[in-house]
Amino acid sequence: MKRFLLILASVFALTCCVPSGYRDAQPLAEELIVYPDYTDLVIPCNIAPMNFIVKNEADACVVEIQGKGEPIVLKGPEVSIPLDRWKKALEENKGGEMTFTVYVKRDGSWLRFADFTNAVASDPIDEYITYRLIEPGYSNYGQLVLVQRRLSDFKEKDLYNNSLIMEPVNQQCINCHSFQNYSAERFQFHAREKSGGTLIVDGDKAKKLAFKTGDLISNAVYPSWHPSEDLIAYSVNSTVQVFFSSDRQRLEAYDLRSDLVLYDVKTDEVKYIVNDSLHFETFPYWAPDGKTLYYASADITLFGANSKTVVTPMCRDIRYSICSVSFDPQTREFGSPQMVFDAALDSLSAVTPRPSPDGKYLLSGVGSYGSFHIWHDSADLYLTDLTTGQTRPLDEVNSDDADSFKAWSSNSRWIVFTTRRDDGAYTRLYLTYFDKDGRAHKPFILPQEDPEQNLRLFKAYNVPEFTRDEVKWSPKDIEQILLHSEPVHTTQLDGPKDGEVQNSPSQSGGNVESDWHSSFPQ
Amino acid sequence: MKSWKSSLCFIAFCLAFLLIFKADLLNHFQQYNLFNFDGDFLWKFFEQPGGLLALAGAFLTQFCHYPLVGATLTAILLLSLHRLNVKVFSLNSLSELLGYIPSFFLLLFITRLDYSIYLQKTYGMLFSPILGFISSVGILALYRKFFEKCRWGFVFTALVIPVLYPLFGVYAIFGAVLIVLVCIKNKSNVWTNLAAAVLLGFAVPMLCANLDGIYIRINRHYAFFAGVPYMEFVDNFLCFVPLILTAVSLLGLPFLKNAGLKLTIALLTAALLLVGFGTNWDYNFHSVLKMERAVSVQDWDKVLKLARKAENPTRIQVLYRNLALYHKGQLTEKMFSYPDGAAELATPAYVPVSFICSSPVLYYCGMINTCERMSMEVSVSYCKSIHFYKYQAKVALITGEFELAQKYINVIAKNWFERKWVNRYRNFLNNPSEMDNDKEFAMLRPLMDFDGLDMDLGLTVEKSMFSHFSELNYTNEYLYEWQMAMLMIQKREYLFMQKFYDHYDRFPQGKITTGIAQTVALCAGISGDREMMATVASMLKDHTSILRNFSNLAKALNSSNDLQTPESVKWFKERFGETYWFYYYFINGIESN
Repeated sequence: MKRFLLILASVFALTCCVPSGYRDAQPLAEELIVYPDYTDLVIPCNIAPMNFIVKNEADACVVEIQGKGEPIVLKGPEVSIPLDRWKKALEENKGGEMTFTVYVKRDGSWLRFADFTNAVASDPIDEYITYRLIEPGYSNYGQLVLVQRRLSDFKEKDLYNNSLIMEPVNQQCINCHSFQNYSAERFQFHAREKSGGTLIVDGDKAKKLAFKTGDLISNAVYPSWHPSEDLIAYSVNSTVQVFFSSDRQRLEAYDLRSDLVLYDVKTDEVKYIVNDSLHFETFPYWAPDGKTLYYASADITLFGANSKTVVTPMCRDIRYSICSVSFDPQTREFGSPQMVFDAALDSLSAVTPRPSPDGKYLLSGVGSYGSFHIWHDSADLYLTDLTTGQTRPLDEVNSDDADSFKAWSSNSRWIVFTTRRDDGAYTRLYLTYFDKDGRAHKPFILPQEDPEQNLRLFKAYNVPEFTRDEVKWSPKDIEQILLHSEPVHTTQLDGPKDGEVQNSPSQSGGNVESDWHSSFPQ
Repeated sequence: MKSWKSSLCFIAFCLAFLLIFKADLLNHFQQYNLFNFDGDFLWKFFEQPGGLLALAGAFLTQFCHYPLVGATLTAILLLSLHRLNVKVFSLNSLSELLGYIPSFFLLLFITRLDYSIYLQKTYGMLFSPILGFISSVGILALYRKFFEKCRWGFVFTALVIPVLYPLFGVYAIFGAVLIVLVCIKNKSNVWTNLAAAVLLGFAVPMLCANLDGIYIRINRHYAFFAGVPYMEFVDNFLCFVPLILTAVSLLGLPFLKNAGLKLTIALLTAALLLVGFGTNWDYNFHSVLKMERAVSVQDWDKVLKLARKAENPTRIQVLYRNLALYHKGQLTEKMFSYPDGAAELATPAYVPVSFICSSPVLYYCGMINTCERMSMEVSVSYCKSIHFYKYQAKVALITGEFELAQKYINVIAKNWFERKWVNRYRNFLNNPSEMDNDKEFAMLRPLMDFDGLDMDLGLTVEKSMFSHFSELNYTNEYLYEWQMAMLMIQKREYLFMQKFYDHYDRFPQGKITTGIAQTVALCAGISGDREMMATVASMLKDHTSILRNFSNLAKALNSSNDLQTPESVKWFKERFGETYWFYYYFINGIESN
């Protein structure tokens, strides 16, 4: 037995050791292919090990990572970098560069690819990122999980998941998670369907909200916490989803109506921000100083429609621009709408405005029409310089496939965005460095312990949001609130503003997922 | 009977039963299964207690690709349970036969299954109950071998639950219950074992369900059913009954050790009768399974042969038949010469037709986006499986999304016995141009040739097809064929005639198919418009026999007082049963869910 264990240990040691003789390698002109493409990047100084696989043909492979301090030498082609050594290397090379050298052995000879270099930014990335993992389906969500991932390593933690729910028929669609000012102390998300509601977490207190009240057309949909006040701006949307049986783009979701409302977390009062029946207003987002609210707005009169006449064939004519309204936190009054980026003028449609925390830039998702950019191949990220008012496509990061949802890190130096560039179906998270000159750098996929996880995982990443800290609530605690607590009802402070008759709640389309879900045979 | 003889008989019985009646079911289980050795896939099984059984079940289900192997494995496992029973309960030569009863009930669990298997929510459910009961009896065997005579034997009972509940779920607790039962029978260590089993049998599931950090994704309401494929029984309790019978029969075995001949025969007969009567013998169900195997290899002749035999088919069979006819180039020619209908699915569970057949039907009629959508939706709600990934892979191939196709093909390739399929479709990844020459894709491409956006209302598979094809502008003869077929099924005479007139000049008269000719004659006949009838007569001058038959039908219809009497239906069926006219007047309620 002892002998067997010794042999086993020797075999293990031999297979794990880095092969020798590679230092005398001859240069190789061939292009190095690594997956994921982690070459020539700017990376955060606190990111998890960026494990990768050398895809070129090799009998043996060695990867050497050099910078200041002790080099890291690893056996390939699956390069798995030890966490402690990686952290040390990042710390030592903060503000500098790390050079990666790949050696391969072919026919008994060692060959060396041209080095690649990654710069280590001294700007850290926020410690956590929260996202939803869901199949890129359309109506059903039985295996949905809301996850928080620590970016300095690979730790993932469920915030909530559907398997806690007793029967599949009672499972909920969890969506639109949002945090206040990068803190996990206060956050919210919606749970649709049975026992649904909006979960509002405030420190160690939580409540489930039955949002729809008065003449609001739906429950709360797209949220944005005010950075400092007890307020959340929401859109309320009456949304429909249609499917195309032949088009490359398989589906479309569009609003029949939408407005913006302000919700007071403490008093549970709701009032309109904007509810112009000739415009669709959606995707609110607060400026970092909390004195401006950005949102997307579509003028539906431009193509001769009003809120009662929008039908599916028109959905490809709806185009949104980015607007803003000023806000006085003292009086809680809003100013009049201002145009920020008139995308519709260029026959484009801009949605999901995201101002950078330093207040200098605004990112939007821009496609050729509509608001459902996650399914639009034309969707790209656009950058508006808020000091000059100039807008440009963020070509440094855009791809031919849909590049849609995005978020800034709290120091404005990192952007995370969802993209379908890998396979056209399953969105993945990409990170990019955004330098002080307003230039983004080559994006890279969120590092995973096993880099092939990105190829194996049949789930899409949705709505990435940075936070500085970890959510303290467990899924079971959240389940208790969602499923077993009575909802708190909101009160509307105002009625219709522009004199037009609003849809009564019973006439409205309800919330987004309810509509989608009910269209599917159950 | 000698032990080996009874074993041989049992194996022969299981094999014959499973291979003759349930071979397609076994194969189907493999197609609706998924297994690979990736760490993240394996780990998922341990997110719930009892995951080892589902994992082992999923692994073994792969072998059902070949029903003979699957049936042999099943028979061996069932026999293993029997051998364990004999040993553990010390059954004598007569009561040894009673040891087969739990295995019979487990066999019934498999043979009882109906359409609900299309909506499996748990991997490995074919084998996991067998493995579960083997582990329960195995726990008892360990106790009897090492701890029965030990004063501290209850420590084993106490340890079994916390140690094995994560692996075997409630079967670990059942093992402890069996220990207590044997103790009661032997009147030794009863109270200590009982206390250990009750206390820990209650506490361990409760702690696993409610303590943070143990099982994040546990479905706590079913902690006492962990390891049992309980999700399958939520709306189909009947399927659960054989497992209850298995448990009850195992609990009874310690007390039947000295059963007499009469009791033994009575119990065995009862068990066999239950197997016989409890087994699902529904013809349509088995026909659907057979048709699906044929569709998967595009054996359209076999599909049609099966369609011919079904006297009162479900919509699934009708849909598969139409696919086969299209791919044989005979859709509107022969679709009404086969039995038609909309028989209810024989299942107490809620199983929509659309969830069963959407992937093959939508794919082979060219509605590839909808096929992809339905494959995704159903697999998200239930289990992801080889079956759905295959259609998703094929859709990705035909739409040119090769990275995506590769992803799906890779996951299928990790399952054993799928090499042939994988090689065929992986070849297209490397040589996309070969798809142009491939018969499967060649038949689909014209069906994807639409003019503009086509709205898919997506309510059910058949309604999707109706809305998709019915309003299309003329694009090519393949789409036109489907369009006319859909209009005929819906009995939309006006739109049918409009499309017929609009495109009559697009094909030579000789190509007007029998079904279309019959429909045209009927539409003209019921319009009562002499001019229209004359036009139609000239258009159908090569179909004089159809016109003559229609005249006969018209006369019979006019002279019939009540078409709905059984005699009338029979009379018309004998004379016009294989025509559109019979379908038009006598086949109703074709709505499928």
